Amino acid sequence: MKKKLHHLISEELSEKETDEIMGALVTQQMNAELRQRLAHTLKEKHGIIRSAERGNGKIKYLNYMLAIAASITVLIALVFYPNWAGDSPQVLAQQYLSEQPLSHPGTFKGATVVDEQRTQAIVAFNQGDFTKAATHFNALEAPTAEDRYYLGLAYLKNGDYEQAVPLLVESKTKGKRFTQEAQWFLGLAHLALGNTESAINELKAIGKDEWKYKEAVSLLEQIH
Amino acid sequence: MENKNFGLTQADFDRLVVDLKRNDTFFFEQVFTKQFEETIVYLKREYRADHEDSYDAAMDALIAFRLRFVQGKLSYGNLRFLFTKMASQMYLKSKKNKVQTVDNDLLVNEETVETENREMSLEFNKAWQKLGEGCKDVLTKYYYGKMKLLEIANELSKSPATVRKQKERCVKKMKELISVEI
Repeated sequence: MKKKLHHLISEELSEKETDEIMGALVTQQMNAELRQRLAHTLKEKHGIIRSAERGNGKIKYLNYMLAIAASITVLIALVFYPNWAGDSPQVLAQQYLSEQPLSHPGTFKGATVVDEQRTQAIVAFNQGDFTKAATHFNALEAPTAEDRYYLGLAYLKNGDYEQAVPLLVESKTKGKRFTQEAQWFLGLAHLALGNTESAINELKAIGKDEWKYKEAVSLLEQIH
Repeated sequence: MENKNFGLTQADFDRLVVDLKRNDTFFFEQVFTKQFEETIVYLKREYRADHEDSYDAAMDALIAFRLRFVQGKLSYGNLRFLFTKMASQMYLKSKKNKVQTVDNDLLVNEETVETENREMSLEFNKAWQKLGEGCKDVLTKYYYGKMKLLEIANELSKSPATVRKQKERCVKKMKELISVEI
């Protein structure tokens, strides 16, 4: 790719050669943007996600392994301690969080500010490396509301619930874009921290037509 | 007939082509994302493909389908069959690449190849974001929408010569922006 860029700027190319290289680069750029939009539409309108993004080496299966490990732990606990899950809101929250696939849809069409930190944060987030994602999101000089929300999610998935809470509160209260998602995740964060009363308040505030309403009702029943 | 074409009428089909040439993908996204799950299910059933591979193959097929639309290589007929066939080919191709990668013990693994093919160049992206909207529009229509300069000129109510000059200026500007980034 870099070779193509160098070729494009460093040599006296004919119009035909320039068109070939520019055509390939513009197509790649626009295809990447189209993929992001399609992935977003698939996720939001049809509930279809690619699940964990492909990573290299061990991290590739990290999310699956964590989900399986969490499920086995819960299963064992349920077999030996039948009332355990019902008495442990923290475990319920962690279970919901481990089962919740999360991916960053990438920079949307029209975004004008490009930041390498943001790109790396998004890549790390989609690879399930939430520590790295949080580091890069934190390093942004001018984080957007979207960056702050995904930083909160990165903390949450990493088990840093205390750090996640203020960011999720911010996402819930500032603007409308992430309100519903932040409401649900805030409930889970409080639950994981053992702040059951706050968790109940957050979960109860989820309206019938809002995201995760059924799950919130089910979770409230399990907490009580 | 419409059932074989994702519910599109001939008029819808013609509109879709015009939209895509202008890089207006809204209608395309609405129509084809509805078929995405069906294609994934088909790949899983026919090839025992896993979810991620099926998703990637269907996505690649969508991208390839857009190109064929703007190139005028698709005609109204049996788009559903063609799309499924294309997704199957994409899946088999990716599997073949994977096997070759292992057999040849290449240093560049499959993941790297996929990333290079599917993602944009960071430097080009940075330069592109700094380019003016007018330039982006002309270059996108010309290179991505495969529109002729005459077609762009008619749409912009400008002369073909003006559009040709504008395109040349935009390419020059893009080269300058890229040289700053690399």
